[in-house]
Amino acid sequence: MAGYRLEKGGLVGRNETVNFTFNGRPYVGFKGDTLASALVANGVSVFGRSFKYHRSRGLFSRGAADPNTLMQIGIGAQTSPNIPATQVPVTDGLVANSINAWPSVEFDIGEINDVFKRVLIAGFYYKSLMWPKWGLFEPIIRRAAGMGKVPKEPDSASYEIGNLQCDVLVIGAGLAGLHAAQAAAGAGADVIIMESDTVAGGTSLWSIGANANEDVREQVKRLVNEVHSSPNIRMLCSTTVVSYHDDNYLVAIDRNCDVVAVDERLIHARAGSVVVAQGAVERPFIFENNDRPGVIAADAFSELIRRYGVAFGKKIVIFTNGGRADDAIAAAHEAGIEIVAIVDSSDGAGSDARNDNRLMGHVIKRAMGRKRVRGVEVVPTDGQGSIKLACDTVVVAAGASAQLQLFTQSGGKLSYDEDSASFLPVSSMQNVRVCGASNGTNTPTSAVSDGRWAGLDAAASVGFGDKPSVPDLTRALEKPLWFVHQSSSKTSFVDMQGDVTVSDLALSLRENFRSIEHIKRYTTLGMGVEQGKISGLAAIGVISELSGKSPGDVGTLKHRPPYSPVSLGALSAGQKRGALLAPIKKLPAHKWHEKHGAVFEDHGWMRPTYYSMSGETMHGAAAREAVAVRKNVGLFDGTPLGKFEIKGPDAAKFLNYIYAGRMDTLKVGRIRYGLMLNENGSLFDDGVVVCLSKDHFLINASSGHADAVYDWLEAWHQLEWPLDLVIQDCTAEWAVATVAGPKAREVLAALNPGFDVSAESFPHMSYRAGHISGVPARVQRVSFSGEICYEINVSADYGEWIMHHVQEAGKLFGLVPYGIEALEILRAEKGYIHVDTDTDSNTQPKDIGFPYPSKTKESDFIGRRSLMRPASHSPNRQQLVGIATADPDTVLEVGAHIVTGNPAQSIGFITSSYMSPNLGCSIALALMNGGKAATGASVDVWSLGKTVSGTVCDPVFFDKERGLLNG
Amino acid sequence: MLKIDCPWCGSRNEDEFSNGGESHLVRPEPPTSVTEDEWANYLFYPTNTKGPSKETWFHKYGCRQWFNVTRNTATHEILNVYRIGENPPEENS
Ligand SMILES: [Zn+2]
Repeated sequence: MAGYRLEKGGLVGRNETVNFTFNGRPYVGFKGDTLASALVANGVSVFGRSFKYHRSRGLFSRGAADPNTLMQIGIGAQTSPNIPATQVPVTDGLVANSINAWPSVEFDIGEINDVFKRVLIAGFYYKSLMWPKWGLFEPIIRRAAGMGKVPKEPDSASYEIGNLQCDVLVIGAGLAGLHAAQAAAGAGADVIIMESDTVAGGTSLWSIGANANEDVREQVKRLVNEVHSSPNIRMLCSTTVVSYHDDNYLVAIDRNCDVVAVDERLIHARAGSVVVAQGAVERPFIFENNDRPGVIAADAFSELIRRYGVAFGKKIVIFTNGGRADDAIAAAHEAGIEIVAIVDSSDGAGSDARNDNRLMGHVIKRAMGRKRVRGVEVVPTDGQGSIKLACDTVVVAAGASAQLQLFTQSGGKLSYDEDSASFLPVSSMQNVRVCGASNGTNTPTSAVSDGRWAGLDAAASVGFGDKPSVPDLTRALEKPLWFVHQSSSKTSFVDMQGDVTVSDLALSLRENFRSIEHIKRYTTLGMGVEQGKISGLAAIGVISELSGKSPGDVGTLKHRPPYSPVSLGALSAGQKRGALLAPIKKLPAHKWHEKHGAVFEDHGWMRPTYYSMSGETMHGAAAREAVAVRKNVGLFDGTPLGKFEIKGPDAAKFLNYIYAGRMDTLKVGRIRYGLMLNENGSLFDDGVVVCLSKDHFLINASSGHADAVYDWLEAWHQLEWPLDLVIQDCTAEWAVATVAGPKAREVLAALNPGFDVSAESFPHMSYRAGHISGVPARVQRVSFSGEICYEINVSADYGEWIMHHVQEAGKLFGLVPYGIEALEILRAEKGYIHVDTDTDSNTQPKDIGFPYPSKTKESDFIGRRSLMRPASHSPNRQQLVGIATADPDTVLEVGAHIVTGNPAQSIGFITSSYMSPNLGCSIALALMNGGKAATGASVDVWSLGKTVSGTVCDPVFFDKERGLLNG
Repeated sequence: MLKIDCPWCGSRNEDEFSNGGESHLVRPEPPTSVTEDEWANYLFYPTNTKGPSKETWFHKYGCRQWFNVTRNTATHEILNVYRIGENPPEENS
């Protein structure tokens, strides 16, 4: 037998029905139901299948803590996986499906895993799924263990982001939290209270506590109204705090966004002080088959009756530890549910004599039934014999798990309290306090005084009112029963969501895992969506008994964000997706490039990779462009090049510190190539330095490093050498048209820049300022292609104009635009490096052919001392070499290893590799151990099982004599 | 998300800043007379303090100024903030 709707009772709107489907079948619920309560009311017992063994699972807990009712909500683009049915309000048209159940929850092929339980033990993944066999298992495991489905279409939901600030942030609008908010507001603080449930009031809405004299249900309703109408309290329901960061910075997801017509709102909140009042949930009793549908926590059972007007079953057995189940017993009586027996694990000493059918000193050894509990086997804690009882429901009240995940995220420390058998907050790292059931209180009176204290203390800590005195609190006295020893440990579940059993924990201890954090990872304990909310303390208790340590010595698990699942869409709130994910930087001449068929790639800037003529592949186009540059002339957009001006009396001195080479001897109008090193002596960036005037320099940084170089210059100037100079980033202020090729000079001359462009008066590595059609232009004669090359800098406003203008001037000379890919071929033909592509974090200047420091440089520079280390002089360092393949048509893979010996050892790797259209053969650059001395040697190059033979050669493949460059 | 008081801009969120490691580090020079040990100490042996640690921070997405922060590395509490070239506040007197 399963659950049903009671004739009366509950807080649901019985006049307002809602229609929804679950696993394709239509159901009817009431407004105010959760998906879980509505399904139980409709007689549904099996909500889904477990992760590893695919065992049938039903409702166990409530709110964010329930481990068993994960749902796939919605269809198509709007679908979201892994949401507990206990957290989903039913709405008209809601579509819900079980996860982990194929082909259906009733008949699941994966249940075969249940039979193979013995092999799917703790550490199974670590022991079995190792390379090279992993490839064999992966597809099967992924399909069987997959949790939910991700939508294939783009998310059509809308999200927004909000920032909130307050003096006091209260997490949880139960009795304690509401009193905390009211007290803090009363002291004058600006208060926000966040509640993950759809309504405020917490468990006091439906629980009457241990003592009927303290029925606070009416009181809490009044309190909710007062808090709602308080001018300096903002109450946000359906708002879950998911993470707690430094300096009281909290992130929450607001799902009650009707007002602003978005689906979810991501909230970033900064609070002066925080009050955690998240309450507690019942943890499971751990016995054989304690995971079967029909076994339910006492608090979830009471909430179903009093909040939703739903009975979970008809004949129940209650399994309790002393008086913990009294609220559930009262609720069962109200609902007219038959209590077959109350199995009480305590010996009854010291407690009131109870006039009910109670089996003192007994425990449930096992539950019977597969898809629904059919009965239980009860045994005395000491002694022989067993009783079998028929029932459809087992209500368990093992003990409370205080919800302290967010408190521990904040850095708060817990300590084990023997009397209440629970972990309580002892010290906090931030301005935060914990109150109510999270703080272990067990009566409304205690929750109220604790809440008021926390609110006043929080307010006082940020300057509102006086510090209150600490109240006396009562806490439950517990003698915990961590697990039932008479049960088979193999099906006694500690973590139902991760399918972790007592025997898994025992195995990990036998295999000498000691730290709870290691046991967690080995067994996957608490690693699911449930995140240890109910399994955490249960597991610590089990480990404590198995290892003979006190729970305090076992220690607690560090909780990590998020507290409960967050949709990826919410994290992209603020429209940070699609085209708006990151700002797109377009070149000033973007339209010109488009017009000429540019195919763009995002390199921080959208840059032309190549210019496509009809039907060309990238390789075809790049080869055509690279040949045209060497034959005639090409035009390249070099705008993204980093450009920094250094000006001041000490500018040259500063640059001498920054670069490994000498910059103080650079003459006005001349340019010098330089290497920037880090303090390890390794290459950080390369580029040219232009001397504009005696105290004014322009330096170029690699396009991809421009931002890092700018920070680097500032750091060394401000922190180490506060010399008399200023640094200005002018990267985006200049557009650069790069003209390269044997006919580049003719093109520049045709542009009539207003200075002599002849080789004699404008040689390689020099600079001239002029005007092109009246537009001021800075022209640098430098080259990254090995050809005569001019970088024409004009104001970015003229970026498109200059490309057009140069193209017009170049028409007579066969000028073609060329992209990044052609540039890469050209520079590789010349053996010119890209720092970080052809170098790694160990590469020093000498390794690429620059034997710094030069004899004449006296000044220190960044990394200089490191170049003097013995290791920097080792002949076996990885050095830049060229690799010529035996077969000129074979292009090596970048990343392929140069190997030697048997078994093969890697002695280097390919860093750049192209088919050279100008040389008609494959060319490659590589870093190789002792590469310089190995020139001429034959080597094997290995990649993905394929070996190619080649010869080590000079990295300069083209125009070794540099005749073209200086022409 | 730390709240950092830039000495030039005031209180700002951590994501505007970047951390530059320990401050008041003395760079040994001239290189020709720096021993291997001195250089290794400077490069590879930060004090890595658990507790109050003096660090440099850079207001990258703000004023682009570097400054000093005393931060408890165990709790992330920021104890004080002062400009480059200044002594830590408690040593000022
Ligand atoms: Zn600033």
